[in-house]
Amino acid sequence: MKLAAYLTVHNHSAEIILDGELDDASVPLLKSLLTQACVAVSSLVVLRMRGLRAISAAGIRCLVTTQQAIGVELDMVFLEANPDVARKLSLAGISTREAIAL
Amino acid sequence: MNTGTGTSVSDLVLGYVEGFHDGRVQLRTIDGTPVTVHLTGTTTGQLLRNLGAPYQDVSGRLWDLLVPGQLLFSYGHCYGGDHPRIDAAQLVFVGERPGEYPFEASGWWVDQLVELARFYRRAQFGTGPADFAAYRTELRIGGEKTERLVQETDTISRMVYGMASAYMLTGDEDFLAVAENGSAYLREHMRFVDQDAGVTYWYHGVDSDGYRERKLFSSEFSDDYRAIPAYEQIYALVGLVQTYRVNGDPALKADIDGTVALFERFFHDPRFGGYFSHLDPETLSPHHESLGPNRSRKNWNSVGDHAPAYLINLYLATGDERYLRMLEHTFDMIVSHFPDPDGLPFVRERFHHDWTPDAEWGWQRDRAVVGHNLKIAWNLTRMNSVLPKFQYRQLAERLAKIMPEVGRDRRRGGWYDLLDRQPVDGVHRFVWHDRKSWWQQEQAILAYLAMAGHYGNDSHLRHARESMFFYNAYFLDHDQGGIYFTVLANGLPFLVGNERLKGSHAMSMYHKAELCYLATIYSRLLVNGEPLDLWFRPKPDADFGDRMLRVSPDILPRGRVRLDEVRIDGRGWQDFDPTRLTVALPDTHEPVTVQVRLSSAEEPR
Repeated sequence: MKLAAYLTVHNHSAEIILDGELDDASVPLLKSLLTQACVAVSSLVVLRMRGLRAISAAGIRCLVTTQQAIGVELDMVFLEANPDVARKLSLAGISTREAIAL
Repeated sequence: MNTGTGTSVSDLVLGYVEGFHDGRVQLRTIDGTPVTVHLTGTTTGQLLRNLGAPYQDVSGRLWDLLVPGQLLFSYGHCYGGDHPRIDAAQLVFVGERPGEYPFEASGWWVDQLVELARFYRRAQFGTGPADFAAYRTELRIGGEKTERLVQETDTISRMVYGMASAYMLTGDEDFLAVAENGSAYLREHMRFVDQDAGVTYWYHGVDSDGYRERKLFSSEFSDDYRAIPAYEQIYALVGLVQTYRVNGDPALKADIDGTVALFERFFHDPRFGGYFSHLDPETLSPHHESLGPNRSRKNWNSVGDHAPAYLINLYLATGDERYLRMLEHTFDMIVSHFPDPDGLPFVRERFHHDWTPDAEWGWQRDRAVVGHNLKIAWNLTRMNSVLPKFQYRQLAERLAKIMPEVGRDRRRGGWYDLLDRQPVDGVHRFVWHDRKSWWQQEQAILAYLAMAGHYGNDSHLRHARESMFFYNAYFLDHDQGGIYFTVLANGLPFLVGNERLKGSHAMSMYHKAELCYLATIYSRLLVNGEPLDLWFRPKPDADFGDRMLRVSPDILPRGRVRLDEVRIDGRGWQDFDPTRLTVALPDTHEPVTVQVRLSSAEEPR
């Protein structure tokens, strides 16, 4: 199932909603949205993963390289990942949350 | 006419006493040059001392010590003009009598390692539990943490190596606890298990402003900026493997093998051999254009550092033929591609993918790092004892013979840093400075000590002793603990910029601990023929492949060392092989402490 993703911006935070499967082929789409999100906001980027069925290592590398590039001024959090996705993120040293107050 | 002090400079001389008469000391430097120094009414003298030991003043009995054959440093004032002379301000004697080298005494290097381990433990964790959440890469000269909150994977792993090595030599369980806590922290915070590719890689580190934590996936170091350097993946393993040697933790073994798989699947060049130096962090390709000058390159670190950093230790722990083959490959690449075809004394260190030299890269250009040449000699010597090849010994011997001529300070002792490979008027000039760094002294000591131990060469032993004298005389910080990063050519500490720190991207607890550990092994077992105890603490589910604990402390000449005695939790244990140096582990539900006694099977060399 291909990746469907879209970006919404609220004041100082941005949300990227991910749906489907984030495989190697869909990494450029993710990277484009992350770049847009980081340019648009100044405090928080949220990735909502409720609809994400699977994530590839390349997709995770895209997330961590973006997180590194944006610095400590901008938070990046990962929400609502299913157990399989959460486990894969955990093996990559990334923790996920169930919710966050915006 | 009174001209004041005239032309004068303060300087250091390392030499052997040939005579002493009428206040004049005739010395012969280590390259055979005669030098005369004058004692004055204020000349002081001290005996060489270890870290943590008290100052030993001998100013009142210089006459007793200034006998032929005595090795000493003289630091003093060199006057030029019509009546040149050298006045000795301070003398440092290596020992009470000629031929007496205190760093060859049984406990010298173990005591030094204990002091270093205590320094870093106190600096990072105080007297409480070793909670690595409090670990910081950057430490000031006295061990205080700076404002920088970065935790670099490699510096944690290097500290873990030092602590695991300290445990192996002492059995002090606090050191092991620090090593195991550090290993667990690395696995939890710095590890990336890539299930898609079946490999494991390691973050460069973690940065925090005290409230938010940011993972640093790719390198933040200028030479490797925003790439995945092989160097950092290699040194992420240094502490994990040494801890694994001690406890056989299957979780560590899995991660170690995952990283070895990374080297084989992504860094290895299946066409031309060797290992690429960098990967792009998004694609894991060594050929990605994002890598810039690091694209499709190989260097000393990516090819040669596997062996000393982790691969020899991994092979020692497991006896696994896979690791031996990987070792063989790295050394075959070194002997095939690194020596200069035009006969220049220094190896080449940077290459394109097809091994054509890269003489344009960054700061290195066509320049030689003295310590890398010595590291090659040292590790070829080790490898030659497990897989003898003529080319290995030939290159090691050639480098060992030529390096004192071109890489060493023949007047003051110690080993230089970066030199031009191409001589000008017969001289390999300094690129930036004539300072001496701690890790390069380590390479020289281990190279010559290993070669003296393996081959029994008196010349190698002399170079080793002179190198150990310089290191112990000038690198030990007796005032604030630890080891100085760099000293000036004359031995005085250089405390400027990052080189004033005791913890940084470039310095943690690896080289100084490795020196203490291996100098103990080589001196005790190979050179002096003395017994040595080692400690291990295997877990009940220890994964060594076959429930066999391998206790050889390094790659040693076949048949030179035997295993005499084994104690498990303090009780004698008989199920061991004295020539294979293996212990068959009992089935247990708890970790056990295994203490082994090794001894030399030959007379001292």
